[in-house]
Amino acid sequence: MDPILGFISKRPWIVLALLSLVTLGAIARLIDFDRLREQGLARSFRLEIDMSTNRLLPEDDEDKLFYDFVRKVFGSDETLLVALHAQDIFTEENLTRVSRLTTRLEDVEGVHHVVSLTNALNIRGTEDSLDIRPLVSEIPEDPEELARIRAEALENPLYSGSLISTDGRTTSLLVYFLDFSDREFIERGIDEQIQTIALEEAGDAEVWLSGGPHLKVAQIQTQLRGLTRMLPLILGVLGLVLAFSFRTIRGVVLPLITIVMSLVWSMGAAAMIGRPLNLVTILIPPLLLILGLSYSVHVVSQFYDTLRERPGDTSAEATHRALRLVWLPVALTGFTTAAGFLALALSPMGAIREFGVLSVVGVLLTVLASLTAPPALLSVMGKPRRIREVSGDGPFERFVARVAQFDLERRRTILLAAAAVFVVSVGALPFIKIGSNSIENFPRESSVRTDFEAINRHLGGANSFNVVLQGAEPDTFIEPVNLRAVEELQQWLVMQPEIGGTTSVVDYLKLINRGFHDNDPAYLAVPDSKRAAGRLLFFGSSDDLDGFVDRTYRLANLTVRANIVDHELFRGLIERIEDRLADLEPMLSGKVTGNPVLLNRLSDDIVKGQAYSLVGALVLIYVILLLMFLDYRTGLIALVPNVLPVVVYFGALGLTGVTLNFATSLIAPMALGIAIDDTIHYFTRFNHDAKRFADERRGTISALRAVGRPVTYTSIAICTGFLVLMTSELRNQVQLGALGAFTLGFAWFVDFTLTPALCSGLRVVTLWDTLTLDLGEEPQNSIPLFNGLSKTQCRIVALMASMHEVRKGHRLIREGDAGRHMYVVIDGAFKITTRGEHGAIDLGTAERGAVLGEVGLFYGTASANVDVVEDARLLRLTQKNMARLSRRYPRIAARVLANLNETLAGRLWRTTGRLKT
Amino acid sequence: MYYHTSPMRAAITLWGGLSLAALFGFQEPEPDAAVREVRECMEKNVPARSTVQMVEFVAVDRVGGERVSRAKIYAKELDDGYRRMKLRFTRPEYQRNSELLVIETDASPDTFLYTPELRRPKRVTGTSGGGNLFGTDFSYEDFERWQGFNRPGQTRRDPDAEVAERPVYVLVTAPSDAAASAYEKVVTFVDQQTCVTLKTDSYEPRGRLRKVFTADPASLMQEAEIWIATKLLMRDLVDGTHTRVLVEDLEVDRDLKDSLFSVGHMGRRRD
Repeated sequence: MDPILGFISKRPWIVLALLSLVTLGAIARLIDFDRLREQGLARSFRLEIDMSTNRLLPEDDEDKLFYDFVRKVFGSDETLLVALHAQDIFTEENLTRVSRLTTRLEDVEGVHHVVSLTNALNIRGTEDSLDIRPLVSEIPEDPEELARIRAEALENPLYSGSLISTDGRTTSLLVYFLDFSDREFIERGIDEQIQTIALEEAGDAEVWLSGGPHLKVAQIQTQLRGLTRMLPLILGVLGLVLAFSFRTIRGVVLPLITIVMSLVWSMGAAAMIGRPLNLVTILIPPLLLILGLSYSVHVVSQFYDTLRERPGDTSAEATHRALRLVWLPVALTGFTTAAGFLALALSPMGAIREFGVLSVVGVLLTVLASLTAPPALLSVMGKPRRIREVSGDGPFERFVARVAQFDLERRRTILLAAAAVFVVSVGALPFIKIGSNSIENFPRESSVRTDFEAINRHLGGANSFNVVLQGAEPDTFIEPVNLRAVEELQQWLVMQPEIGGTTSVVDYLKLINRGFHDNDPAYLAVPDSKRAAGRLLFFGSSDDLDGFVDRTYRLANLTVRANIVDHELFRGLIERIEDRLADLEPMLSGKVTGNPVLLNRLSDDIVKGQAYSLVGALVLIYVILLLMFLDYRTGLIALVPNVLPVVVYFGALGLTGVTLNFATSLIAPMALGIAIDDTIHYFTRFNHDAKRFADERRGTISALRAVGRPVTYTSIAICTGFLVLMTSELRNQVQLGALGAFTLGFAWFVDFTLTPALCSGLRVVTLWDTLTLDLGEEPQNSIPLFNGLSKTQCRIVALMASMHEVRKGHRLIREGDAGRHMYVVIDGAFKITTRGEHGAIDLGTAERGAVLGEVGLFYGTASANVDVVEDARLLRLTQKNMARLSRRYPRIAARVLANLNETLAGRLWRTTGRLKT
Repeated sequence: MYYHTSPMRAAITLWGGLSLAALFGFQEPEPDAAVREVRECMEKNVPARSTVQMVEFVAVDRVGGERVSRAKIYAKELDDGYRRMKLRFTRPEYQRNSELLVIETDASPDTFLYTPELRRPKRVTGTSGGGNLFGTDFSYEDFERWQGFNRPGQTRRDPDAEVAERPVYVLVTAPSDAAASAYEKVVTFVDQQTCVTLKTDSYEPRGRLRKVFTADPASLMQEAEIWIATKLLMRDLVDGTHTRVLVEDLEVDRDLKDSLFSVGHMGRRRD
């Protein structure tokens, strides 16, 4: 790795050139320059945006496949609804308005057709003719004729309550579109054109717009508006945090350049993959900015620290040195954050899986950018003229030290408090509500929501879904018995308080039947024979009817208009309908489907996805911790301060009533991946300091003092970044921002309280230590205490003890001194003497592998003097160390004790021999 | 190169694809030589008196669901110079005894329907050209055009082209307001060798190609000097559905009574 790090710091121009090339490549992937010249930046992004809720659904889900099938058979249910509300729709003026509006809307490029009062077909029978023409084919001036049309429209079961409200004051125009992408829909400005036309034609009537395409456009525009506001705001907030912590221009500019560059790379990668941004992945840009900052901050911070320690270094040397120190923790914390995101790829929901994968790519690219761009730029920019001195003993450090002291003194209290918080949070879990609702995502006062609610009130329900009935064989739905079953089901459905109306093939059939029988009301009924029903549908068939029965008459589609959007109420309604469908004739089966139904059922997938991604994140992170600390217990302990904030987050969901939806479900695995970074920083530092001082309590305080400031700064940056998301107009983003900030803020609090309290009784061994600890050549062969152990096991023993360096001339052990420890000589030389009647008696020398002071270990008092005759390194083993080794690595401890016995026996044998002579 | 044609006197082939009457209209002036060349070519496939055919329609939805219907179609030009056509349905079973009668007029054709439910034949009025006909991808307009009934409009000839590697004449018709058409343009491709229409493209307003009606060149056959295509396909490009048409048992110039084509005869079993 060192040659690469050296290359980055010593060949910065090459690195910067490469980075620029990659960035330009990403920009070229991201922006279509041909369009840029013609249509401007906003319309030249290659990244498509697909806000359809369909993207949230699992691709292989049975319900989604059925919904896709239903859409294929009966046509798309994606219609935009324009409603006009006036004192009376059946006036010449208002009907003319509807007619004009229909014509103008049909002229909008991209519109397939429009259904309104003035073109919806009606069948009228007379003695000699069968007249099939629009409900309002000619607009009369005569009030009597207008009254006749009104009566005819209001008694028409197909249109009353849907195309015209039952009070005759609200009418709707259903706009159907050609099949094209959301992006095309937006770029053609179809929604805006429709709004403009509707407002121009409305006159003094009120206009309301709703329906899937309108909601999608509103969602995309709100998201894009939010992004264009939030991204600069996040950069500004992060800039302020950087300015406060570094107080230099390069300290602010370099990390900001890095995260913006990483964002360009990540979005370029997304464009290259060719997947459009969806409802969830559109959150990646702000999140990457928020989360990516800490990596480059560590690099820049280490550069300054290095220069403070070695002011004489050149900028290239300082950069190289800083990179050597910082690359591993930066890479490691990047991996843990990526692991959190990677776990989201286990979700059954496609949009969340894409979010997980793209975020992993984003985080890894950010790590790469952080380890290359800032060092190269720092190397090129040269040494700063002045480096601000940072006091290691400022008010903040003193405060942190007091907190650490408190943690040690109140360890039990803290652990009990954490347990209590855990229990309360777990207790709140059953109260978590689950589900997403696209309408309630908009602010209460937004026109999207008020229009939806107005349509809901006046047209009997704007939340439309389907009940699809299936027969065992073709021609099922020309059999009177089955048609009556559909009719009874419709009657039952409209009795439900949440349902405003239904439409089915039976409604059409009844109208055709009446029309064929000279408009005799007695024939507004299901015919008595299959022949009659078949003939009526055969001759009365139309494009509209194709939306309600398939060409084999085996499938029937009932559209149902519900007046509720609340997740729980809607779920209850679906369950009731499903119970009712179970009572159908044996030849029939039924299913409830439709976009709102699938979204409602997402709750199960959200829970499943949350469980999968949480377990996945925990396992991945635990594996990383296990690899780091080489001990399952330490791994578990390191996991505790990260699991607690996640549990508290879920508790907060239960207590606040915020739903677990596709946006909030991102928080737990993400928080786990981020919070673990601080824990790793703390544990690593604690390990270092505890060994340095040979005292875990001192190590606890010292480690918190060391990492307290960077952990706090990065936490502030991340939390304020999340808080910026609260400026969004969309409720789920506000919740994501608030809960993300809360969870990570709580994680910071835990880092300052629970983590030190847990650590204080711990001896940590890291993989890095075991890889780098120098015990000389073949310690298992050259040091008798390590006989029979592997090299790694030797290092574990060494790391469970403590290493000491001693200078020539130093007396290591004084005869008669108390001490419950012994030493193993790693290198150097010692002289052993004891007091005799005639002065010191020379007992010999000790070199590599020798054990010193073992008598003190067992008997508490040293039996000889030991002086350093050559600079040496020693391993100091205490009884406590041995006890810990026996507990954590019993096999290694048994081997060491056996070796020690052998050493003592050998020494006893030699002493006995000496006494004999 | 726009022009108007005079009323068609000659019977126009039922099976030659889009009719000359449909192309040129009754009130239109004499066509220029270019269009007349195509018209004369198509007239070669016009039977002198009448035709009787069995036609099967297989309407296929977007997921492959099929609805099959069969009708015996009688067509004749009466002494008044106008064509009449009667469809008597034989399949599906419940459709037996239902009939549809189409009578050519100077404007759009008159359509009458008889089913036992109606008790007596009724004139079907007000149908917009775009509505679908007995659950197939044909609208009343498509069907009438195919059957060679008058739909007023202006026609021009475009440069020759190729369809299925066969050289074709290209005629472009813009239906007039009187035709009450759902289309702004209908393009027909007439095989230069057999004079059978191999393809018809129907464009909706704003130039959107809505329907494509094609004849399978492999199914071209000659019966009593008349070329016909027996396998045809109507595709609705917007809805993604299609209808296969199979023509069987062609009888040319059979002696059919005029009364068979009267409204009063509808519902009676005798031919």
